[in-house]
Amino acid sequence: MIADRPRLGGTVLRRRGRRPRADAAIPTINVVFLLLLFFLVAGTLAAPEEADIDPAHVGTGAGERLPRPLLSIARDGSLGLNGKALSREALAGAVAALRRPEEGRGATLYVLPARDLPASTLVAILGEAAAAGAATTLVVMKTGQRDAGASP
Amino acid sequence: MRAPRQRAVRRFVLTPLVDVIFLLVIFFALSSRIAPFGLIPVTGHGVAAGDRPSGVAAPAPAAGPEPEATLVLSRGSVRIDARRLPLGDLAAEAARLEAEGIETVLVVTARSASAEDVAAALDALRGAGIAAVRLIAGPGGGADPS
Repeated sequence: MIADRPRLGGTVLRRRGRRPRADAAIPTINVVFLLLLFFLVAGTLAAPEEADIDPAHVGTGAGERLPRPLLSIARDGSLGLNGKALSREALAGAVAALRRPEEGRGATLYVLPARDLPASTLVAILGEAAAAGAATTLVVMKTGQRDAGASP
Repeated sequence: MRAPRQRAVRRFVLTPLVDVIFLLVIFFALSSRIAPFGLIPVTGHGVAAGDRPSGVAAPAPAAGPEPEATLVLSRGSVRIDARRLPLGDLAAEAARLEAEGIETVLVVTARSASAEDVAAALDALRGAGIAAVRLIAGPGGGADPS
């Protein structure tokens, strides 16, 4: 009914061509486009198994994107290097192959452990990666408040 | 959408574009992580003697002075010398250690410790300015799930 009014006025004024009505879906499209831009700018592509890992939470530190090369360790100790499953035996070879392209001494390997992975497994894997010649960096999730130290 | 009455005015059709954009949105929403990550460099680490899988060479011990303080890390708590304190208090304790002039710390993980505890401890030590941290799995902590 409200929409009738301008059309009525238009007929009274004898406007030539009818002004092309903007598509009603355009506001929706705008929002969807903004969503797309948001995910493009703020997100980092992650392999499904990396997305499944719940990393350790730490209260401080600067927010970073998910770095590469990324070694993910699930809570059962299974490994994935950049999203590809990796056996524990193949770890040393894969780490050694990582440093090959840049010819530098020791590429940095980013390790994303699940938060409830046993620390002994984590330390063992870190030790193997270091023995294969990589500098290692733990990847944790940054939270606003410090809740990491709360006793269970 | 109504068909144009008089002339065949070709209007710009948005629907296919919107479909593609929508698919892109779904793809990026499902496959990206937007959480901020923190990076904690791990400097020196080794494996306790009993825990090393056979066939793996012993990692070279981290070069540097002998550690001046030892932290035994278990789930949610840490033991320094004879004192046990919750992991949340480690930041203050690490600041105190740093003020005492202690620069190298040995972190030994007990059996109950998880990756979360390791990350919290390393983060607290780094926040206090203690850069030289050696990370070692303690004896009895070597239950290897793989």
